[in-house]
Amino acid sequence: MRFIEDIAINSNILLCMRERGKLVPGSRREGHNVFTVTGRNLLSKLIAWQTIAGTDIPFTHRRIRWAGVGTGTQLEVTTVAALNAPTLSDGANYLATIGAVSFPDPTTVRFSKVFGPTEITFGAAPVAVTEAGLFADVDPWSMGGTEDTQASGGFNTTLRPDVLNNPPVAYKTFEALNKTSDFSLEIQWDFRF
Amino acid sequence: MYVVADSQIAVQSFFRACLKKDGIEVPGSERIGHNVLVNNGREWLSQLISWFTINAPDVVNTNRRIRWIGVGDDSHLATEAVETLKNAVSITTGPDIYLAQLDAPPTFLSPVWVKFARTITAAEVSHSGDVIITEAGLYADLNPGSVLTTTSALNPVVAYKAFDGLLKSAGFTLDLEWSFRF
Repeated sequence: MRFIEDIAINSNILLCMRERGKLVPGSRREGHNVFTVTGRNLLSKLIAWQTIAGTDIPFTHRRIRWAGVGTGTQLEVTTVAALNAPTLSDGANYLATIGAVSFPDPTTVRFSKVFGPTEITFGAAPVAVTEAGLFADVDPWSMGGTEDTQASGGFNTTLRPDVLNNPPVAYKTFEALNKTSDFSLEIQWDFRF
Repeated sequence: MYVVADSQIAVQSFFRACLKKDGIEVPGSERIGHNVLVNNGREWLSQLISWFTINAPDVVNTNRRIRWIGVGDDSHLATEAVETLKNAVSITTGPDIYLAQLDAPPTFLSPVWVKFARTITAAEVSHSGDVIITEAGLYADLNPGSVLTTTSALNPVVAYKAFDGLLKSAGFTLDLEWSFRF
């Protein structure tokens, strides 16, 4: 038990590559990451009701929904507004839905995503992945959050997975992982509240 | 070289209470300080930021958000293990109601800083006589589909604060403010 002035959220990220299920030696990356201003803004809106009445109305329904990776890098600061150089996860989209959510303990949430051998490296060339981000969204955008607005381009979400400049809620840059079409790329992102 | 930000994401939480009479702050009645996000609140946050199912339509783990505030006349050690107010006092009576609805919408002091507030009126809490208020808690809930019971003194708090006693008499109002800066 402890008394604390700040409420600390521990955020950890683990990445690795696998070949036919086996860990690729030297491909493990671990570390903390930064929760961006976008993420902090989301949290402040997410915990509150805009209207408390017969039917409460939230500010937003967005929750962590997408993961994206890139081949660039930038300082891990709260003002990160987009991946530096996003790379397509498939032929058309920079964002991929996260695969699973689990709770290693009651106050920790883990977001997992496995990019398969044909994701990111859907072309023949290897890709040196050096950054990753988590993105919050909701589908459909019209679930009731007054700040949730539909993305342009006919998407039913608030973000467009096919554009480069989506704002991440959390960001991490790391030593390059050379993903080829032989490897899958696993990302585990933990938030311990 | 990589620049690594703080390993922890610090959320700053501030609490303020003061008594007022005829709209004027009572000297010496201001209580300011940090507070504790209890384990129940941490569990709630971990569920709140994640989807249960991602598959249009997405399905939530929880849709509870901060909705109520309560006060009590006893206190716990302010630790993460606090589950309920030590001794909640009723806001109104007939029947006893222990949760007061927060003002909505809350105030955003900055885009990342949300402040919840509620003024306990002159007739509330001290409806049966003077009460020395020494603790307060925030509660997450939703309507419709409420998971809390307003007539229960044992609802689980998400955030908790204990402070030096404030004598709430029928002639006074009690301002409560609670903010989180992410």
